[in-house]
Amino acid sequence: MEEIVFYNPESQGEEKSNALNLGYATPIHTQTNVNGFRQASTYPNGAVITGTKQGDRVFVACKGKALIHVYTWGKEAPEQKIPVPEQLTCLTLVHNKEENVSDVDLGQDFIFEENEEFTKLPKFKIPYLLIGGGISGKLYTWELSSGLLLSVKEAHYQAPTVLKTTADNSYLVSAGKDARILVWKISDLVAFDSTEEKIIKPAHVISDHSLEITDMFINNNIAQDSKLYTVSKDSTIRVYSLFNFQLLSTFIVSGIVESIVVDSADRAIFIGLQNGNIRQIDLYEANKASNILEAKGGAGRILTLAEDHELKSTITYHAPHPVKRLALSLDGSLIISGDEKGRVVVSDIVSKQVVKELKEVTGSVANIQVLSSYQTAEDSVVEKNNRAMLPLKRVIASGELKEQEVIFQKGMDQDQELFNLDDYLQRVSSEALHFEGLSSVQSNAFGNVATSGDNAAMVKVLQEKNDKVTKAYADLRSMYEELYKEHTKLLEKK
Amino acid sequence: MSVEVPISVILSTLDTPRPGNLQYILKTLYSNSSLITQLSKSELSHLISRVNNLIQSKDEYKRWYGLHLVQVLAFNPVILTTGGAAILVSLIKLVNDRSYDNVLLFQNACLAISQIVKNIRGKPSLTREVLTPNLSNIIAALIDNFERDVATVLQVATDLLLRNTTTFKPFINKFEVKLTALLNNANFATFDDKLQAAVCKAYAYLNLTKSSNQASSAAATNSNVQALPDDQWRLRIFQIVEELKEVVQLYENLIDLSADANINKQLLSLGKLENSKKIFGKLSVDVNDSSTILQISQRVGVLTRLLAAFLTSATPFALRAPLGLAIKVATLLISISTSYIPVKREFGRESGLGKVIQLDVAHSQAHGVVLLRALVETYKFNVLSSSHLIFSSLEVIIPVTKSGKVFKIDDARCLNLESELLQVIGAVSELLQLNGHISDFEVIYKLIDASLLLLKKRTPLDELIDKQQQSAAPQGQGQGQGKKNKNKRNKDATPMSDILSHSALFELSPSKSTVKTVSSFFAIVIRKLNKINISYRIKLIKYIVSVSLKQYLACGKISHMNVKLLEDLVLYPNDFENFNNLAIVKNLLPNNQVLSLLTNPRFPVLDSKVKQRLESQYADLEEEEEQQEDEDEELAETAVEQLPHTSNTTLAEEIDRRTTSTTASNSANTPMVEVFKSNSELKKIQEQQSLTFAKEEPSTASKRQFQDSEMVEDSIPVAAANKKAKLEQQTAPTTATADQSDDEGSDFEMPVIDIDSDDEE
Repeated sequence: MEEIVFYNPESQGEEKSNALNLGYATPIHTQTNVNGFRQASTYPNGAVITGTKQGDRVFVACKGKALIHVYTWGKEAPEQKIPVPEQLTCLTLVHNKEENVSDVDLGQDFIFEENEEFTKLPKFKIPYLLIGGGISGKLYTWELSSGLLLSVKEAHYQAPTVLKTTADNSYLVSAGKDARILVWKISDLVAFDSTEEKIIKPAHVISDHSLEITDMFINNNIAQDSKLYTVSKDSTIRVYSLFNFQLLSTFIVSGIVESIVVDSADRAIFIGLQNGNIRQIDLYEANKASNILEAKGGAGRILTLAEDHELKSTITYHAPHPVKRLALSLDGSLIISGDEKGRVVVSDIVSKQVVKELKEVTGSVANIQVLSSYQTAEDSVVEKNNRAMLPLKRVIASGELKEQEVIFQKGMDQDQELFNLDDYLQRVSSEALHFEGLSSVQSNAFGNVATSGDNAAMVKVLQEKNDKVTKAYADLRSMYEELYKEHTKLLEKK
Repeated sequence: MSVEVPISVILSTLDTPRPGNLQYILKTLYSNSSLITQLSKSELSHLISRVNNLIQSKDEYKRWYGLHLVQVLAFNPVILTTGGAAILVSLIKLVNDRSYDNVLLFQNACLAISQIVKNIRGKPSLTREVLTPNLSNIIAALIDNFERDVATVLQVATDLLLRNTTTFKPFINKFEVKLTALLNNANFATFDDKLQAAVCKAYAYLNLTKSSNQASSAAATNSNVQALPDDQWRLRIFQIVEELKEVVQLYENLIDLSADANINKQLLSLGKLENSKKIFGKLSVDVNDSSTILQISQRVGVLTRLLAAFLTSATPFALRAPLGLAIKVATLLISISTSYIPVKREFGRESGLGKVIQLDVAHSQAHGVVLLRALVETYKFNVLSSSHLIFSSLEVIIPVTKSGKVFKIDDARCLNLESELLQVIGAVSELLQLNGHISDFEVIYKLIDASLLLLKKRTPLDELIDKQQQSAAPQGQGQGQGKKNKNKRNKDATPMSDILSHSALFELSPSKSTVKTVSSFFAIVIRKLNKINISYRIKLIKYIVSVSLKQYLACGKISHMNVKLLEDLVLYPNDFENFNNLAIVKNLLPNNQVLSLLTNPRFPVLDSKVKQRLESQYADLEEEEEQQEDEDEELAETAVEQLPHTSNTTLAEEIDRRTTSTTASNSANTPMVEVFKSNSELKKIQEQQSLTFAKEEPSTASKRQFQDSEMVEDSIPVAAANKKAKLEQQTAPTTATADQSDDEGSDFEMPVIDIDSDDEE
C-alpha cells in the first residue's frame, strides 16, 4: 500500500519552453520512483488522473492551446495529443461503475454472501465521461470510449474554474469566474436526442457568491447527504446540501480563499488562503463549558471565523505565497498543499509540522490529487500494445444510435485462487457411487450420440433376422388361415 | 491436525485402489505438499508411474481413481516438472480412446487436462517443456471427441481458445463446424441455459483471431486503414444483426408491420451487408402448421444470445463494440408488440393461429429484453445516453387494458408473461441504478402494479369461480330450469368440491427468485426515486410492512432482504411523505444498528485534536473529582502516544497505529463525546450552573456556545433551537421522547419536595 500524490504546474507568463513544465506523481511514504509528465501546464483544476496502475491515464488540458494531452501511467511524454474546439480551463471525469444491482443489494439471509463474484478490472479501462470547461464558458461532454461529443452547453459568462461530480454520478457542478455555480443532471448532458435541438437547463443555479469561485469540494455521501463546499475570492466558504440545494452554513474568513479540502468524514474543513496560511475549521467541537461535542453551522447560519493568533489551527509554511491547491491523505492525517511558488509539501495535521517537501514545479501548482495504490506482481508486467483512445470528436453527436461505437473490454473472471478441496471431495464421493453400483449415472444428452461401429453392425444383423422371422410368421399365419377357411367350408357343406 | 499418510503406504494402496481410501489419499496429497517435495527421486518416479499405470489400466474404476489423483497432483510443481509431460500424454490417449462408454471417465480426463494446463500456464519454461509440445494434440483430441460430453469439452476448449489463441488457430475451422452444427440443431432452444450460453461464447471467441478472406478484403477496401485485430469480430456482429433483421422481417407476413411506419424505417436503417456469410440455414415457416411459426422466435432467441455473447464476453484485449446498434436492435425487437400492431386479418380470423402468432411475437420481445439487460449490466453508464429510449420501449411490453381514458395493467396477461416481466423489472432496476433522474414515471408505476400482482398468492381458480358464479346468476329467473341445472352441476362439481370449499389450499406463493427480483426493484425505487406519486409509495410501504410482519409472526424473524427494505423506507423518505414510518419500522426491527444510529445520532469521532483540547480542559477542572483525574491520566497517555510521527513508516503501519490509538482513547472518552447526557450528569451540570438545559432556553444555550468557542454568530435564526445535534426530520419524535424523559426527571423532583413539606406541617 502506498499513497501517490499527482501534481502539475500552471506556468506563468509566456514561456516558450513548455517542455520544462513537468508534472509529477510521487509516493508520500517512501522515497522510490517519481513519475514525471512533460508539458503538463494547465489552468487550476485542468488535469485529472484515473489511477496508478498499468493502463491508467492522465488527462491534461494544456494551458494556452486547444489540446488535451493524454499520458499513460509510467510514460513521461504524452501518448496522445487530442485537439479540442477551444482551450479548456478545467476538467473532470465521470467513472463507469463496476457494481450491478445484485451486488449492492439485498443479499441472502447471511450477511456476507459467499458466492460474491469479482471479475478483474480489464486492462483497457477508461472512464465514462470527460467533461471540460472551455475558456469561453462552455461545457463540453465527451464519452471517452466512443469519442462522441455528447453535448456543448453555454454555461458560464466567463471561464469555468472548477468542475466536480457527485459520488453517485447524478450531478455535475460547475463553478466559474462569473461567481455562479450551476448544478447539472448528468443524464441531461449525455442524452441522445435526434429529433430536435435539445435544451439542457441546469437543475439549479447558485449565485450567492459575489466574486470568482476558486475551488469546490463535494463529499462522497449518498445522494441524500451529499454536500457541496464552495470557496470564493469574496472570503466566504458556503456549504450547500446537494439534495435540496439549500444553503446550510456560511463561514466568513478574513482574507481571500484560494482552495479547499474537506475531511472524508466531514469533520473539518481545510482552506488555503492567499496570505499563505492553511486554516483548519473544525465542524464539530467540544463545548468548553459542558464538554459536549457540538456541530457548527447548519440551518443557514453565518459564522465569522476569529483570527487564529495563537496559530493553533493554522499551518504557515507557505506564507506569503498563496496556497493554490490542497488534498488529504487516505487516513485524513496528512495534508498536501501546493503554493503559487511551486512548492508542494506534506504536513501533519495534528502537529501542524511539515513532514516532507516534494519536488518543486516551475510556476504555480495547478492540481493536487492523492491516490491510494496497491502494487501487485501483475502490475510490474508492462503491457506493450495498450490500445489508444479514440480521438475526441469536435462536432456534436447527431443522436443517431448507430453512431455510438465504444471501445470496450470486459474483465476476465478472477482465476480461482484456492482449490476448494471439500467441494471437490464431495464430487469424488458422489461419482464413486457409480462404481459401487448404487447409482446409475447416465450420460448427458450428448453423451452417446455416436454409437460405435460394432454396435451398428450388430443392430443391422439383428434387424435382418427379425425381418426374416416376421415374414416367415406372416406367411405361416396366412397359410393357416386359408386352411382354417377350407376347414369351415368343409364343415358347412357337411 | 495433519493426518499424514506415509508415502510407502500411499504407494502400496495405489497398487490396489479401493473406494475407502481415495478420500484420505487425495486429502493428504493436496494438503501435505511437503510430503511430495521431500520425496527421493526414485520414490517420485515410482509415484508418477503408479499414477500413469492407473490411468492406462483397463479397469474403469482404476482409471477413474487415477484421474482424480491427477487432478489433485496437478497442484504440485514437483510432479508437474518431473511427470507432467508423461501424464498429459496418457490423458490425451484416454480422451481419444473410444473403447469405453463411461462419461465420468471422459469428463474427468478433460478436467484433469484442464487442471494441468491451468497450473502450467504462465510459467515460462514449464510451458515450453511440457505444454507447448502437447497443446495441439490436446486441442485436436478435444475437438474430435466434442460430442462425447459437449458441456465439459466446451468449458475446457473455450478456456484454451481464449488463452492459447495462436495454437488453437489451425483448429478453428473444425471447431466452428461443430459449433455451427450445434447452433443449427433444431433443439438448441431447449438446451439448458448454461450450455446455450457456453456455445455462444465459444462461437464468439472463434472470431478473436480468425482473419478470413472476407475480413481482410473488407479491410482492404478501406484503403490505408490498417487491419485491426477486432475486424473479424466486428464483421461477425454485423452479420448476426443482418441475419436477425432478415428473421424479424418474416413477421411482415404475419402481422401488420406497415401499421407502424417507424418500425419499418428502423428495420431498414439497421444496414445491409453485401454477400454476408450466414450462420444459420433457412427457416421453413408454414402458416398451416402453426407450430412452425414458433421457430421464428426461437431463431431470434439464438441470434440475440449470440449477439449478447459477442458484446458481453470477457476478452483479452479491447474491442470496438457497436453498442448503439445493439441497443437499437434490442429496442426494435421490444417495440414489435401485438398490443399495438394487429395480426394480419387473414390469420386473425382463425383465433388459434392468431394466438400462436401473438405468443411468438411476445417471445421475441422477451429475447430483446434479455439482450438489453445484458447490455446494461455490462456497459453501465455507456447506456445512459439512450436510457430514455430504452424506458419508453420497455413500457410497450407491459400488457395493459384501456378502461375509459386510463390504461390499467392486464392482470391475466401479466401473470402469463411472468418471466418476461421479471426480465423487464431487472433491466429497469439496472437502469434506475444508473440514473434516478427520470421525468416520466409511467413505466415505473405500471411495473410497481405488475410487481405487486406477481407477489400476490395465485390461485388457478379465479376463472373457475367466476364461471360458477355466472352460471349461478340466472337461477332466479327460471326456477324449474335452474333446479335441473343445479342438480346437474352438483354432480359435475363433486370432485371439485375441495376447490370450492378450500380454495385457499390451492393457492400458490410466488417463487423465491420472483420475490428477490421484485424486492431489488423496490429497493432501487425507494432509494433513487424520491419523487414518485405518494399513492405508489404507500403501496410499497404497505407491501413491505405487511410481508415483514407476516414473516415475523410465522418464522420469528424477518429476512435480511426485508430488513434492508424496511431500513430503506426510513432512510430514503419520499418528497411528498407527510407521515412517518419510523415507529413501525423501529418496532419491527429491534436491535437494529442502522435504526439505532439514526434515532440516536452520534457525532463522528474526532482526531487527536479534540483529545488535546479535552486534556487541557481537564487540567482546569482537576480539583473536582478523583475519578476524573484517573481518566485524565489515561487521556494524557494516549495523547502522548499520538504525537510522534515519522515520515519513514509505511502507510499500513501508520493506519494500524492510528486505529489502535484512536480506539483506545475512544473508550476513555466515550462519556464525554456522547451527544445526550444522562439525567444525573445533566443535573450536575445544572447545579454547577455552567449550562442551562437546552430545551428550556434554546437561545441562551446556543449563544453561550458561541461565546465559548471562537465563533461569533452574526444572526441567530428563529427556528434554530437545539444545537446539540443535527437532527433529521424523521428522528424528531424519538428526540422528543428523549427530552420528555429528561423533563420527567426534573418534574419528578418538585412534587417530592412539596409532599415532604406538607408532611412536616
